[in-house]
Amino acid sequence: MILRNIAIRHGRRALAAPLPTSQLRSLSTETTTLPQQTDLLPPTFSNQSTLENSAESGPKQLRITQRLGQAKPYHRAKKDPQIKRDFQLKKTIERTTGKLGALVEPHYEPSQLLVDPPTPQDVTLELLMASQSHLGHATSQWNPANSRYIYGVRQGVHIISLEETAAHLRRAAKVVEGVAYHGGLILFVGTRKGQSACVVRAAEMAGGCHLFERWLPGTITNGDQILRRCRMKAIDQHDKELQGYDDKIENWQALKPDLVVNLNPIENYLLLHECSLNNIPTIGVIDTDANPTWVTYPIPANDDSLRCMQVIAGVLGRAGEAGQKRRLAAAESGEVTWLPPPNLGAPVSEAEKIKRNELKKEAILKKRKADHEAIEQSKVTAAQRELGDFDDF
Amino acid sequence: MPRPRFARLGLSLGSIKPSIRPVRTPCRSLFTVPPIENLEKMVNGIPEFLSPAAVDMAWTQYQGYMIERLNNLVAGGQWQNADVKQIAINYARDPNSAPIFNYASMAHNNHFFFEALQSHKVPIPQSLKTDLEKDFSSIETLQREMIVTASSMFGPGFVWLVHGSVGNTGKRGFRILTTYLAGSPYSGAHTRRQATDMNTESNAMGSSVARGPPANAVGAHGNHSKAPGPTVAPGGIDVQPVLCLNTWEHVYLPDYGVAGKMAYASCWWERVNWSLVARRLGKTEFNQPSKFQI
Repeated sequence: MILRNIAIRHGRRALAAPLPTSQLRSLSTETTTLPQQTDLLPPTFSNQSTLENSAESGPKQLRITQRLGQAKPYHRAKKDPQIKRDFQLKKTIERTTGKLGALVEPHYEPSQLLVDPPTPQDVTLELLMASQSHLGHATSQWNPANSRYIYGVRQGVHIISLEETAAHLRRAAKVVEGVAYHGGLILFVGTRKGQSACVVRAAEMAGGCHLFERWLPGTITNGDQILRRCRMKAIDQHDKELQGYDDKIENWQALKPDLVVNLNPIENYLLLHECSLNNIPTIGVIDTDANPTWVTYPIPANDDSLRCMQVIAGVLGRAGEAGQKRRLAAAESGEVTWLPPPNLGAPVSEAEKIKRNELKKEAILKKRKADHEAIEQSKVTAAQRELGDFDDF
Repeated sequence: MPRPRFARLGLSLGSIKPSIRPVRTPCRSLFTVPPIENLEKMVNGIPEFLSPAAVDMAWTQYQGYMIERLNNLVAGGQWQNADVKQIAINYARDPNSAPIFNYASMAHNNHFFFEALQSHKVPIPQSLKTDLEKDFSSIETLQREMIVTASSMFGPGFVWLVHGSVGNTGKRGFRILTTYLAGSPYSGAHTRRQATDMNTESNAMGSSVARGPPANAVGAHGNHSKAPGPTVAPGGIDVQPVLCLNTWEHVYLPDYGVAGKMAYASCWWERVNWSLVARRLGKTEFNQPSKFQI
């Protein structure tokens, strides 16, 4: 499921405030011990006994209402200044003495690929080789369409050329940066086990969306149905939400991504097919057994190595981050690098909305009056005709 | 077989390349000697304190030796890329890995000492001076205390100025701490603090029991029985080292001779970089707020 950053999750809203008793349904009549809070709920059930002491009375004995009724308004725990002081002291000690003793040579730290991903400038052949991006599949699994990316064979396995990987990765990074600069929506997809963290991180950096579970067929072609619960918002060139578009957004078509980055195209053929039907460019990691024609910008690399996927997702996420930064900087200096959708128009202010509602009301009343008069008139003419009929005789 | 001699560090930063290396399996060095801010220390020594030869022996050669021994012990394991302080704290409670703790803690303490040296006299910043005078009545008293403590220590070690909780009063302030050999002042490595010379401590049962916490629970429960001050979890931070003096013999031997520890300590006091000490305490000259504002 594509999730916008601000999609409402109904479960969260339900738990935010206690449910009003009018929405509670009786699901169980078991008697249980009463916690204090549910005594505050008045028994308003029509199909339950209202006797205070009756075993079946009211919502108090219902297990579900006990759980739901206990929801209290969320409030922050009181801040203990001692905790803040201790934390600052710990950080100071760490900063001033943590690295004393020796220089640790640069090494591979798995978590650093997510915490501090490499930039497109950091892409070197050594990094790609250390991330096992050159290891392809067995020669019997080969897709001959990507023979141009293969360097050779070793121990029955195709070796992907590191220069090809680096060049294609840099090109893809340019594409991602350009799309982000022009205000495009980028979707990062990685549905294999373990790819969720890097996909989410890349989407976060590039200001786009992520998907790490199964792609629902039709999310683009049938988006109005599948994505109907996703909230949309209109933003200005500084990424601030704009008011006055509620009506337009209510009837707006489901959004489609402007670029899709896919870490495992072999398992996501449908996604890539839907993108091609809708003219959405795709970037995909093509292993030796994958078909490079499925994507617009292939990146020949080893899609079975998590480290390699974290490097690629990190690089593309960083490229998106740079593009976003450039876009916002241009907006600060007055230059807007993208165009709004043609049908969006100008925002409708509250006063304008009220005026329009008034006009609508007037129009409805007028129509009603006109209809009423027409009915009356038709009754009169029918009566006259009747009388006229009699006159004939 | 000639003893391996390490090349001088000179003006280049980074790893030490010894001219003669004993034969061992080829492995890249995981730790290298860290650079010090004022490079002229390495070449010209510290005027009126340590000669270039002494700095070469106490820093270049010794630190390189500690790091090489540490490399040999942790290479190939899960701690091979960890920070030296982390290694020391981890192995502080493992007596079977005592050499790893020794080399790591010694490398850390030695760097701590050399980092806070300056080639000229640095005045004490006023805010730091006020705080020190609160706990030591005057700077001269603090100086005298540190020098006398160093003199009275028999054998190699370090003399520390730390900031932390003072006794059970719950207040925090400065105090002087000694660590023998490669003892560590950090709370996490308290099992290897080595604050006293155990050879001069009494072996009697009574004294060792008196040193520890009371064994019975009388007065341990109830609202009025707790010791005043904040409760610190085991391993919690309550010690912040800010300054140390290295009293190992090889540091003062070339310049001051076997009997020159007191003279060495007096000269050291004139070359302490007090602005760095203030920075270690989290105070800067312009009183910038802490980076972490919650």
